[in-house]
Amino acid sequence: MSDYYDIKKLCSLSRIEIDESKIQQTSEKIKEIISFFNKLDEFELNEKEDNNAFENLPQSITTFTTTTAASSDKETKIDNYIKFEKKMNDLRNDEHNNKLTFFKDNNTNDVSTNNNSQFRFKFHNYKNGYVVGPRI
Amino acid sequence: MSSDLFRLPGYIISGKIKNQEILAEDYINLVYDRINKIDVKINSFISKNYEAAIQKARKIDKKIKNNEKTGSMVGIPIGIKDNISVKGLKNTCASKILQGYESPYDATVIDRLKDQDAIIIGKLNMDEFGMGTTSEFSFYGEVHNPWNIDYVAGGSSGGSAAVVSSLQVPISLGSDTGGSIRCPSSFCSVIGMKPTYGTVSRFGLVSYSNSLEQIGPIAKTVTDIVLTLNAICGNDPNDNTTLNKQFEYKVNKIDEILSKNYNVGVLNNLIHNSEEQVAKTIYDKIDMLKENGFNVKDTSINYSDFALAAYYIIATAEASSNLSRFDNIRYGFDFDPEGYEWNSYSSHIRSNFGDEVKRRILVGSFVLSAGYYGKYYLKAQKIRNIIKSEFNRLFKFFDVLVLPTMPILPFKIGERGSAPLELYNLDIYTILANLAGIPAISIPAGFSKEGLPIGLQILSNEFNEQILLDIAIFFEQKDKFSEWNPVPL
Repeated sequence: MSDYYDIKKLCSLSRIEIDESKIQQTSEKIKEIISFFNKLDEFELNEKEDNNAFENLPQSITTFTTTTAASSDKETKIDNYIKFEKKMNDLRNDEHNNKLTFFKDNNTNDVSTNNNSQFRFKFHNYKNGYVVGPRI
Repeated sequence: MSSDLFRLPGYIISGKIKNQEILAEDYINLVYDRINKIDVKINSFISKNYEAAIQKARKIDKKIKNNEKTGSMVGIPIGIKDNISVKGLKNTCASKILQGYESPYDATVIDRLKDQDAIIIGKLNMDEFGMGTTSEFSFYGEVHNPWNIDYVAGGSSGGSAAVVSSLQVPISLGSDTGGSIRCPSSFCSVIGMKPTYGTVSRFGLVSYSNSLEQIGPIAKTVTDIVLTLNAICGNDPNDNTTLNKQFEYKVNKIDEILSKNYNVGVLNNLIHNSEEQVAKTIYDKIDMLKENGFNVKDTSINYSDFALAAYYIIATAEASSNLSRFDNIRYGFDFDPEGYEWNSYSSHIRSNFGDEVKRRILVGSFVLSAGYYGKYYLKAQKIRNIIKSEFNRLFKFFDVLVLPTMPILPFKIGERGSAPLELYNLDIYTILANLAGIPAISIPAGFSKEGLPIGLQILSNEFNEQILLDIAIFFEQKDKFSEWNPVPL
């Protein structure tokens, strides 16, 4: 990567403008950084073992149940003494709910959703009707 | 009133104000006189808070006169890194893109300091959005090292370290994403601490890489560090990553510390890679520990070669996401959108980021892009887990690990700015604590032949800050490093 068009594409993706005169220099520096990141290719992890870690846990300590929730997500029950982490790939399977709309309560400034009244977002800093300030 | 009061640590000043030996208002005036005289050489302040500070000092004097209850940090002036929100003060993150932006609320740490009657003196210079190791990447100009103003102060909390080192204020707050508190503390010969991830609330800290960063104190004495930590740490409903845990740190007596027989691991493989003068100074400190009965053993950490690449992948990925909010709609300066469609307006505005910030955003977008996620980000997270396991292994045998804070001595301003990797490599010793989420402290260890400061870094297991403080107290008492001050100032 990192030729002229790749950098332009990356700039467009990141919504950043770079002077034409600086494109070459930026490209070289990014190339240098990415080559440094490629050092991780030397890191040989036993991928198979890593991927099977979830399945290989003994049945006695991990059970799976299917919940009746609308999402039908799997729920994992684990004994207290074992620390269990989700596989990395499973962290990215969330789906955006396009139908979700928000209503604002003018009295409390709280925001709730139309399909689940349990969701209430309380924003602390308002100015002219907008939430302001950097948030974590 | 003695004009030498600025040499005293915060806790002594607080005692004098409480005992009505001095008035808080007089002391704050003295502090601003000192700042006006010294800071032209250092450039540590971006904005000052004179009016509000004087008002607060008057309130404190009135409280004391009326025998009302006061906080633990009464009358202590504190400088704040410019990425921590203080209501009514500019919060620029040393970036052109936030020029003129005024924070409408206080960060939790600021609320807590105000509750303890500390006085916010002003906002401090830094690398833009915390991205840098030298404090040269600031829209407001570079910070100069008080020990030699031709040299860098370290970064990214360069203003926070330099302001304490040059005796302008006794305590400051910084933020540490990959060593941003410890690096400048080492270069400026002060104490800087990064607490365990989740100990201090990040609400109100402008995020650069939220899974790595923590707010922490910088001071010249361990007592001031303890005082500040006790004020700012603890659970915060506004930051879900803070832990529901009680923290209380103490300044233990030296006999008590020595009786604990701490096991100290020396990270030899890392010390060997430092500059000769740095390594020698660190080994001198290790000899001091041995001579005083600490159980010192050599050890090493595996996979540290991969840690730096993993750190920069995670940090840039999170930066590209966090900084996407700066579109000049919610924050930023007055710029007429006439003639622009939305995307080009946004891109044009975002071109006001500095070169280093732009580079990190681009790299972050690249490593997260489809097809590269597994190659970079996923692998980096795996390495992060392995580094954490390595520390878990080591902390079964050792209470603390020691190594240099920085592998090299401070260098001249402009000497290393052009090659990003050259600067990234300097973070090799500090990023380990951020990846693992463990606490770390940098304390003054000595000086090179040229008179440039060298820092000793101490790491402990999560929530064992007290052990770090104990070891720091040991060195403070033996070396008297709190009395080391830059001569020209």
